[in-house]
Amino acid sequence: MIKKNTRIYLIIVLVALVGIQFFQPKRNTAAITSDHLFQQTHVPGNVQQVLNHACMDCHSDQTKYEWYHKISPVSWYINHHISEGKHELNFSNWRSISPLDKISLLEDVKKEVGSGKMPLKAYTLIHREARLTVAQRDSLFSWVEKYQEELMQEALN
Amino acid sequence: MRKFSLLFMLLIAVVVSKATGTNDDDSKISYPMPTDVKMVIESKCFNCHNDEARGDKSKKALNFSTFSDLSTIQKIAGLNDIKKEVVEGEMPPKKMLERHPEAALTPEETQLLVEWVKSESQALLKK
Repeated sequence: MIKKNTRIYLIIVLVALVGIQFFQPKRNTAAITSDHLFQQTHVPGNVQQVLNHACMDCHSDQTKYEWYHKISPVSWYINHHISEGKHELNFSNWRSISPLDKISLLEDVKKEVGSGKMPLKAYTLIHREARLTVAQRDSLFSWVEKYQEELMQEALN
Repeated sequence: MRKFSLLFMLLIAVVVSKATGTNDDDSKISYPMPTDVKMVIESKCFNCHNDEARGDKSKKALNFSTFSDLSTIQKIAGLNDIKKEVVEGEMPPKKMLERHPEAALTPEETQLLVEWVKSESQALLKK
């Protein structure tokens, strides 16, 4: 037998949970344009896979949502991560970034992934495919280094 | 007497070499840069961005004690970050400026750093 007070609290919480469902952040699901990294340069298939699995949910305009990401307050939490991630690096806007800025951003990718800061623990906890193997990291890094060399040439011109 | 004048000459030689030749070695920043740029960096950036700095975060992001040892790409990336941070007013950090308003970069100093980053990056790209 639940006490009367507890019952009232439970009802309040339930109503609040239903109420906040009407406040949803805008979905981060724009169509891929020619500005996207993959359209701007040749990225090997295995590296594309790494980027798609471990980075693009927060570092592009194309988030792959799970059903529970659409429920408040999870949706707010996810949205916060996405906007922060895109502020630092957005692969969907790759075209508009200068070659030198691209070199810097790719250097940050190496640093963040190399030190294990990225992908975030909270992300890899749920997204198993984002836990990168040593081989996946290596392929990512060797692509980054090769691409940085190309960008250096581009920056010169 | 001759011995004394020899000693005197030696002393002068030491003083002169201290004052001119080794001047650059006294600087805490080994990476070559124009004197005016170095003065700005030493007075406004170096305190947090060197080997002995207390904060780990600032040192890891940029360390002027070891900047020379970086690869060309790392240098270019580092320089580019310097430009970004000072142009966007992220550096020196606002929190530090509350306590040390004198550490703020003047518009002229910011401009000086930006121009240096540009020319230095181009020089590195050509290497």
